[in-house]
Amino acid sequence: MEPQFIKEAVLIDDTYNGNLEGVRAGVYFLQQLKKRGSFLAPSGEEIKINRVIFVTPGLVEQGPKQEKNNRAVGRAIGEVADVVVLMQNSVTGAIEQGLNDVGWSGELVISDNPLEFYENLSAMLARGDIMLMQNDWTDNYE
Amino acid sequence: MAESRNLSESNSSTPGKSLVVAVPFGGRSAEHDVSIVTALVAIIPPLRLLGHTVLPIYISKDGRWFSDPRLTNIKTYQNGTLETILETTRPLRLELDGTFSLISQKTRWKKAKKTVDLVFPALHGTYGEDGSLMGFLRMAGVPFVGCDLAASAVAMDKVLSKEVVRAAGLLTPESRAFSKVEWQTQPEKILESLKKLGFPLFVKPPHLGSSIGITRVEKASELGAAIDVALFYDDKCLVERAVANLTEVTVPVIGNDQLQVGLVERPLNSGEFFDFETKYLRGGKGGKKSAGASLSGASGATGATGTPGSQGYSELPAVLPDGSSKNGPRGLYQACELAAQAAYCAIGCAGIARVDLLVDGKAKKIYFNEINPLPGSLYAHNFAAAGMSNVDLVGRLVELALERAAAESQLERAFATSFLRQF
Repeated sequence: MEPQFIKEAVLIDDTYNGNLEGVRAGVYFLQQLKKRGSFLAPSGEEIKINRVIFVTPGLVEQGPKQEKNNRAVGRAIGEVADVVVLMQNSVTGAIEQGLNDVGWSGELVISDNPLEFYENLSAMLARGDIMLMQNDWTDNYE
Repeated sequence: MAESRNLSESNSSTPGKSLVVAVPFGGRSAEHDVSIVTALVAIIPPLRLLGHTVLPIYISKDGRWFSDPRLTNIKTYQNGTLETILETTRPLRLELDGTFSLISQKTRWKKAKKTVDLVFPALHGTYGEDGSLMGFLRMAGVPFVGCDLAASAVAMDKVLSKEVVRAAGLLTPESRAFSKVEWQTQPEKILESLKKLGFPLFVKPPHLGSSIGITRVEKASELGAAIDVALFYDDKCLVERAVANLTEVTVPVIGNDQLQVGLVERPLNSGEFFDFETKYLRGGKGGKKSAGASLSGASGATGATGTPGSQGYSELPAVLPDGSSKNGPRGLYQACELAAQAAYCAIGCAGIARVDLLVDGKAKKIYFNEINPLPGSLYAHNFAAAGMSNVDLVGRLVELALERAAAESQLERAFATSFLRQF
């Protein structure tokens, strides 16, 4: 998990992580951060946490557990995220169901153009936001 | 393209419906290039991330309208592609058949028609921000983002806006205004009158933005040349007394009836006057480079925490001369927020505007300087620092435009009469 600072927001790149336990670890980390209430910017300023934004295409290579595991992803991230960004693909619906399972009421963004999203990612960020990008959906699964 | 919605049924603030949004930019204006950046950086990408279909409309410097996907790429304006597009593409035509539709002629026989649901103007300065476009869009009956015709026209006239806010009880620096004809026929009389204001003075063309044509004058011998500069750009001239013990701040505001204020921001500039060069040429690229530098600990010019503003470094949120700030004692900071909102309301703004204020730190007085009905890049950096992302800002502005259009549609404007029967 590599943090970067953009516009007084934190971007955590966890895109090399591609399993359910990794998602749960990321969620746990974000929950602890949220409890802390703030993070330390490189300038030395303690910045109050604004929103937690979870970005993921979902999990690949789950075999017969594809639907089940991605629904579990939805349930997990629904415990902590204020905004969820899903890269549209075959498991998006399962993740949405997981979010609904836990009664999540945040903002859902579904993007069908990951390149456009990543190129304009900073437009989604405000001071105090924490964005966790988890997993990458490789082209052979398109 | 992205779709954005809220999973909670009780929260209907996010419309969720994908709109066809036309974004006109460029235009016949001294701020043509600034407008391109506002559109390409702060408006079009967030609209796409919100799931809307964007129709970019580039208005050339000679007033022709074009739409082409390449116009949303900044490189088009740097590598000669723009000129190719202007030479080889047919300008747009409009169809006003109860809708606002753009017709692009693909070939001699093939044309494409796109009906526009909403217009998001990015036209700074003349023939756009000054109300020209808004009047046209009102006639066409298409919803649009931002200040309406009247507010835009008042806001873009520094003489008129001063009169309006003064009538609303706000302070403005003492000033004189005169026309080009008056200057040509009575220069001595005007100069005598201006000397009575005292020095230093600011000489301004009242209808331009981005600090174009503004001169700070320290003594009487400098007045003539400064007035000539202002009247090169405008047919009127405004001369204002400089505010003593000055702290310049700017405050972006959004809303129709319920207002939301961004952060009070203080430009940090090397000179005393935040002119066009300092705003856009010295600070622009430096602002981009310094994004990383600031976040890694480098501070702004005066040792305060400098944040790259849309036009270079600024103190955000500002710390006012009485020590007040966003999270500290309220004092002048809160007074600036209130003054900005009062000016916004007095001029009848809607959607978004940015209010520039002059603070006399010793006398603890706040003077209205000017109001900008279309802030450069929507001042998205300011709202982001206040916790509202560019995407959320654009989404809110779209909502505000639709709310206003819905309210307008309830008004009866044309009705049957028996007037013609008498002829």
